[in-house]
Amino acid sequence: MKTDEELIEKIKDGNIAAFEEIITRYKAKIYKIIFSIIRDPQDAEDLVQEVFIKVYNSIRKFRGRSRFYTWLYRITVNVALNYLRKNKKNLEFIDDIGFSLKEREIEEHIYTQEIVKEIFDLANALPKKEKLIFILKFQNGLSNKEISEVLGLSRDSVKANLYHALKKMRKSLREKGFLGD
Amino acid sequence: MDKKEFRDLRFIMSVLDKSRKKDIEVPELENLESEVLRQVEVRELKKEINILRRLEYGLVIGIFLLFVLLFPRGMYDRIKSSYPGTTIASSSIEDVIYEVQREISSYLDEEYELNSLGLENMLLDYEDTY
Repeated sequence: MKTDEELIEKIKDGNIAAFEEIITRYKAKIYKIIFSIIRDPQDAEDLVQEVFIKVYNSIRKFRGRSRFYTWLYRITVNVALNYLRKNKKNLEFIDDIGFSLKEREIEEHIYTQEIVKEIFDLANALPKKEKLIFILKFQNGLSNKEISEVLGLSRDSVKANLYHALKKMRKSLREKGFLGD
Repeated sequence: MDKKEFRDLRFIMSVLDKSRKKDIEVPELENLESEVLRQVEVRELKKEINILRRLEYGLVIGIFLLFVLLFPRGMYDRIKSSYPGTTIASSSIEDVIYEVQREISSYLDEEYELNSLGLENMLLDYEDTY
């Protein structure tokens, strides 16, 4: 299997098949990132197309200073945030907590639907930047380093934002009596 | 960070991680590749059309400027003498100007004649009186 970098070089030389391979490789991941930000399945599909068209049009500007996928994710996040701005929608950490925890999970941790709901509500109430970091970390599984490259922040800044947000949530949970001693 | 805080934060993070486990259903996106390639092609074509359109405008303006710059009066006169009776817009204007000038001068001549007649009559009256 060819690496991303090999495919990018081929795309720069006008190889359409290489571009098709990149689309196939990343389309599901891009869809997930977009959906986790905009929460609209139909528009998410359209935005996936937009992302790849943007990638094709600006591929010559990609100098390879960062990994290709972080450059691709950065375009993806920008496209999704632009969509929210244009449609005057808010960024949500999660719109619906319509999933129940399995019995095994409840046994392993002392979760209750109530505490899960409270934590997600607190995550939704975070400032936009922190919420975006949360979405990329917890819903898309990106590492702090990847998040820093995607959002153009330093790794320390990502860590600080994350820690600050978690501390705020902890404080609130303690005040409401959700966390025991 | 103390032990209790570490435990709490880990707990919160483990709950937040559950949001990933609520798997986002990815639709088939079957024709995505061909659709993206089609759109890329359409955009490329549009770009080319725009370039051609600009070239076309440039060409028309260029030809017009060339015509204006390389069509000196001598050439106009040569065409006029080569094709007598040809009516060109500028020659019609000249004719009109000439006609207007003629009209004015004939009017002035008449006025002069009238004035001079008047003066003559006055002189005759004067002579008769004195």
